Amino acid sequence: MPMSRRCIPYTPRRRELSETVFALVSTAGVHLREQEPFNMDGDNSWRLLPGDVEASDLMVTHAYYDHRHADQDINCVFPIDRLRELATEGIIGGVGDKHLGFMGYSQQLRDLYERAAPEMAKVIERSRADAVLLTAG
Amino acid sequence: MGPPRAIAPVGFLLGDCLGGPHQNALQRHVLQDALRRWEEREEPGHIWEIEYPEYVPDPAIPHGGEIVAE
Repeated sequence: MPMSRRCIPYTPRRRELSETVFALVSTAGVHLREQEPFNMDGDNSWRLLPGDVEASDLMVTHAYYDHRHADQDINCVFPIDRLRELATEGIIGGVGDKHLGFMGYSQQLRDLYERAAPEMAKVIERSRADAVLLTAG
Repeated sequence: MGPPRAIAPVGFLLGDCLGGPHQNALQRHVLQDALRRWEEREEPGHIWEIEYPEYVPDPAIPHGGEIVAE
């Protein structure tokens, strides 16, 4: 069902925080070092990040914000270590088996709206995640 | 379209979404405030602006972290 641009996609939570598995989805240009970097002229592609990804395996490709801090510590924009700590402490139910990286700058809004975003949503829906934490740059 | 649940740390530079590098306690604080929105019942679309006195913008980063064409 196509989503109205006027609606807010709110889903009531069905479980407590301590029972909820979270995936990370970021528009900060995060990807694995071995993956193809994002195209700074505009890019609707997304990168699949494994659930057991190490912070040191991640990098940022983005030309529209200063990411020198994220280059030193990816947790500035992609808090994978912080999320894992919360899971270890039982504050959240767990960390998802898949995360997504996206760049966020695009002039192809129709493609973003009609193809890319639904694709990404499907990946997350089919993963272990109950919820998504979305971060920007 | 608005976000269903969102926070916006006040005064954070672009690139410091959850805080500065290796500011683990601050990153955790911001993350937990975001997750608190998951727990609360509230009106979707509202963006909670939250101040974190422990955050100090890096003066070496100009333009709020935005890359500006010269």
